[in-house]
Amino acid sequence: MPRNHSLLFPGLLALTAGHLSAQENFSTEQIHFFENHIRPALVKYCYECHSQEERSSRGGLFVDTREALLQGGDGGPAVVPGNPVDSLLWDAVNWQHGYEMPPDDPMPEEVIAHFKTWIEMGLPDPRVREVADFNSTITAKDIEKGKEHWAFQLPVRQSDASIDSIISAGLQEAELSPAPRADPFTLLRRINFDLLGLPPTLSEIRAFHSNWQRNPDKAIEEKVDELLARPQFGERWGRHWLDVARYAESSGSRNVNYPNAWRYRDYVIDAFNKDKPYDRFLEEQMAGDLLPAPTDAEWQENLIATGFLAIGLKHHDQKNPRQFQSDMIDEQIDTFTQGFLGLTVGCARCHDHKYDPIPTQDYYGIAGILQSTRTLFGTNRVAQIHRTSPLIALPIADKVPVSSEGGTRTVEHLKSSIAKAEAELAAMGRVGGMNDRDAGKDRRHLRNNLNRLKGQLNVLNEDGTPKSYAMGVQEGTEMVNANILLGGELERPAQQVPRGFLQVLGDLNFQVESEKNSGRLQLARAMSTPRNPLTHRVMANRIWMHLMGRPIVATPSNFGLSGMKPENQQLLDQLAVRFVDHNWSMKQLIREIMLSNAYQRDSTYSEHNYGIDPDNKLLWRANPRPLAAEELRDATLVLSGEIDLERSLASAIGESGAGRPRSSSEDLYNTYRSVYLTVARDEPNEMMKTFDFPDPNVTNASRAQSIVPMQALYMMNSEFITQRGQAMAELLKKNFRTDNDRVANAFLLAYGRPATDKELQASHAFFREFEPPSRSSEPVSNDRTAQGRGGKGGKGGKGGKGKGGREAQSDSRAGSYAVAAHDPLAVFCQTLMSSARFRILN
Amino acid sequence: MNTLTRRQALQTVSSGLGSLAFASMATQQALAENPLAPQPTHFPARAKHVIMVFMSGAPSHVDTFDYKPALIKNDGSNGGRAGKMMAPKWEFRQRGESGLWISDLFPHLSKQADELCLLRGMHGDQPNHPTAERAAHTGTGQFIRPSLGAWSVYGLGTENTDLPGFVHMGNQFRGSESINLGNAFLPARYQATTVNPGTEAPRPTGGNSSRSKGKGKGGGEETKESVPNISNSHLDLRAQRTQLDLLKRLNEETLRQEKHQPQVEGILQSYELAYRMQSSMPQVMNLAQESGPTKTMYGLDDPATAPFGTQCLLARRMVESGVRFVEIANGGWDHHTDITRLEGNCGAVDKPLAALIADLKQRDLLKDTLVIWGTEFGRTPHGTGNGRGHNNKGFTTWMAGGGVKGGFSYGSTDDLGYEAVDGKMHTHDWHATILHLLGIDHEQLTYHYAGRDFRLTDVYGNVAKDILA
Repeated sequence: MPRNHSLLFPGLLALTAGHLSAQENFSTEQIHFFENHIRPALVKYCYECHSQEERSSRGGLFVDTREALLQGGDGGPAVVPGNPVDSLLWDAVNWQHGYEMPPDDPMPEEVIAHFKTWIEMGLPDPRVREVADFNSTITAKDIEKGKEHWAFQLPVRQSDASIDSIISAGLQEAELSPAPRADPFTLLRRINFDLLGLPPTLSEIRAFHSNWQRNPDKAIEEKVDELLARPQFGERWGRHWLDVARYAESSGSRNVNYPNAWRYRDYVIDAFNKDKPYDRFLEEQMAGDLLPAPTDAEWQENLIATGFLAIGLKHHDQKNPRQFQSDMIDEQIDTFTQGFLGLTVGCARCHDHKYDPIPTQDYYGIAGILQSTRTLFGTNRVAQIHRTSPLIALPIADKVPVSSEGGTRTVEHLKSSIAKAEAELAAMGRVGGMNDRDAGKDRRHLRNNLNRLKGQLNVLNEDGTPKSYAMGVQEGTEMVNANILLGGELERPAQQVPRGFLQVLGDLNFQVESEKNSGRLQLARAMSTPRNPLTHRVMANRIWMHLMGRPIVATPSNFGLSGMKPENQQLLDQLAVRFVDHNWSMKQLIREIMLSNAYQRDSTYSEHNYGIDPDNKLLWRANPRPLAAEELRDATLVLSGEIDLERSLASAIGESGAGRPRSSSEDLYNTYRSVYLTVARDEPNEMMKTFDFPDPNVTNASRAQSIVPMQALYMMNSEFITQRGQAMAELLKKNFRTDNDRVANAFLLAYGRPATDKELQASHAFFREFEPPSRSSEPVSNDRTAQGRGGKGGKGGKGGKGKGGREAQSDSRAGSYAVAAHDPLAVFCQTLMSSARFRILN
Repeated sequence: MNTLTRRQALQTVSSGLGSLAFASMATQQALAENPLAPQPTHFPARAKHVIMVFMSGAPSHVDTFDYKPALIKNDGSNGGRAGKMMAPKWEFRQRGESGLWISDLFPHLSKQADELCLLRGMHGDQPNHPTAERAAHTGTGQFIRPSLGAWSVYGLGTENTDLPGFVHMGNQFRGSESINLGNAFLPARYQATTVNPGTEAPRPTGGNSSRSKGKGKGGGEETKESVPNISNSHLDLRAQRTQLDLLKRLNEETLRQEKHQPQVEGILQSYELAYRMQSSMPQVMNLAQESGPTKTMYGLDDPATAPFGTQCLLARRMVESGVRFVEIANGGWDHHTDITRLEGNCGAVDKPLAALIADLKQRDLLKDTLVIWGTEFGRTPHGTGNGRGHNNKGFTTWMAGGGVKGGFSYGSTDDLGYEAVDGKMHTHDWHATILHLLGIDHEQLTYHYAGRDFRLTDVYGNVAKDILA
């Protein structure tokens, strides 16, 4: 929480008294009763923890207005006027049913009696809440002025200027001569990794090389088209979007699993493979539940897409439901405004945006849309998990990773356990009176257990088969406008603002008048229209960055005034225009960029050019980049021949269901592509984290590209890389008869090109000099890895594959290798995987 | 005031001019070669190294370092707040020449009273353990931000590039590990390297030694390495050197082809450093080089003090070897229901802490090593059953060495110990002061991320100049 806010921005906030709601009519006598008996008691016993004055709303409850009592807190309305028995407040002052207030000693009997009378009277209460009046410092004039910022104006079309013509102009002006086209080996490796995140195989290298001899242009074009059509394309490019979408399968904070999050992951991968138009992709993620869906299959897809809004970091241990909602909505706004619009609207939660013409009202206009939306994320109400919700039951039962072996017996067993627990709990309610803390503890324990059982039953159909659920959003039951919160603090509400969008976007801004819908569909459409000056540019910039190794706008998720200006706005605008021209096809844009000369240049250093443009802003050469964590892991599995290109069903968390995530490193040793590794917040996979996998607690625009000794230690000494070296050596020994052939093909596999003479010399020297540790002639059986995941039917550990007919004896043995870890060829293979040429894509 | 002008002014600030990383061309050059190279400070540093011991769970200040006669007098009375006043169960005495009041819970540390700078006016925003611990480490309980240690190494680099700049030992932080010790948006090289003392796996000296550790064994007893992947399971150093020679030649060949390629250079150097770390790390971790009396001084002969004592001794060894920031996390200080358990917790750290200060001093390391005893918040003067409640409005931490006044008390809480009233030090002020001692202006140590410049202290923080020696 920001501290000393008013001190920081003196004079910006004018506080005036106002009313949140009109008061009911009560007699003077009733008001006197309140003033004489109730107000003093509330002040004495309750205000410390439940009043705006103390800025404290424990359990989400204020008791300082009638309205607040009716609204209640964590447990629902605190009072049912006229009915003490149904009022939680009555339970609490009587220390009943798990509520004991005030916590240290009950109030005197006569005070308790007054509360009864008061509730029976219908809760007469003259108190009104002080509502501050928020005055923005950003005026209409500021907003008009703000519209002049480049990113708030529509891109200008430059007839049909090509990427190369725009870049060449810049190079000529700076008197730089661009590097020539890269050689076919380098180019093929680049195209493969950029499109699929995988290295080319030996046969692909040979085929491409011979095509190149006939016609290089045609060879490249055919290769790009071929790879764009492969399912591995979506696995690489979907992962780029999953970084932005802060995809993870657990809540973070008080970490609980999101065992259905993987459906959103698969949706994203499929969307890229289908080349779903980006405007549609956006609409589905923001408001898929509201889009017309002619078929159940489409509806299903649209619902899963809204998981985008539901998978973010959440504090399920938050006792105050309004605080929870406020934080969740903030996380949603932060993610989708940065992700789609390249704007940091989240900054306007506590104060007017410091840089952009985004007043706090705009933030709360959007917040109202999300307050009128139900975010469905699941989780069971067990110990310390206070905030739960249902999930979306999907129209079509899809394949789920949960065993249905128990069938109806499981369902019956759960039902009888639930009935038993409910009966015990009911019986408990009758015994154990006031002051019996042990009874309270037992009750909590029983309730926990009951909720856990209910959670287990909820995910099953009557016949014991698992139900298909998704995380996502639906329209709320009540359409509300949000109150501005001063400093973002719940305890300091100011006036309400109508649901809407951003004033700086001019006629794309709207106000929701209807009480029948949240305005979320309208919001999605205002974001996805080509008239939005941000959306197409932001995505075009991201795609450019992933292919060229350098974004045009260096702050890809911030196109606002505090972001960087485009290095070449003409180029960015032209990409954005063409993106829309081609019906927002991401594959088309990728294709166009890859077929440009700029993409195909080699990375050769030139002293002259470097002297003028060291950062390669003008793109006189290609930008080398380290392989991303997933690429590195997948590539070692390709080299070792162990990769399984099938899609993994769900993930380790999808299989384990509700509960807390364990380390994400557990499934490292399966052989699926890395995009299918479990992603748990705050429990990163050791290898992924070491190689800069981003923190999924927040949206990520671009990854760090660090090169640190911890990575070197990983390549030199880790179990995982050691094994890949062994498996690769095994494969080479099987497929090639001479040492020379083995070494030559090892280079071709790892580098995508034949070895140079110097590299061969170094290799020969190694084989001459290398001496394994003495007395170690026997192969070391390192059977410590490659565990299959439960329910995989042994598919998880593919170590037995390609072992010269030797069957893996069991899952636990699946990772043993015929070649020892200290075998010279295994060490050699591991060295190739560790080398810079392998780890850096040029 | 013209708002647009103000906004424009802020934009100028955001353009990264304040960052240390842009201090000079020479620094830039050095950073390009080695991003962890020592960097110039904003002003002369008082401390070059930090050892932060973090008592996770919030020890009671009124039972340890904050003497409250009024609380003792009012024992059992209802102070108008929720619960009855609870006097400390341990005697307070004046210690050393300086006469600082410290309770009998710290008999050994009390002998070093004249080195201690008690910060008795601490306060923070977060009343719950996980968020308060995050705030104490990163300046915010709400967002994911870099740890104090990460900021320190980002700002200063490190002196011994054979070793990590930021090392963590001891307890984990209930689910917030990666946050409290993490680099967040800073590059990964600034994150803490977690070291588990005493479980170093021996390198095979030859022979068919199958590896005893490993992740794939299906749980159960695992021997953890002191640093991830610090040793090789199947090659001895000679064999590995042959391997690394090949690696070096391959990388040099790549570099020859590419001519100018910082990433390739970086990889080349990282293997050589990693290779050296394989020897240097275990060497730092090897306590066999320490004398018997030293070990006894740190309490290594007593099971109660040995774990924390080992960590303190290792912290000294690391600082000696040039590690910039060492953090030792010590858990179990949550005395909500039973305050008497404080005795056990204090007993486990008292002797090692006293030894650490004495040992640093006798080696002339204390003058530029800042020792910090930190925690997330304090405890209420009234009781909650036999324990004490959470109190983020007033608590005590202390520092020693590293350019702070010894035998000094700064700030105070009210008569009962509820709230900081004087010499108030918010968590942000605490961070600002620590960075100041390291020669860093907390307002200028920025990192540009997601469109703006971030600081450890956000827009807050005042340096407590009164405590500077």
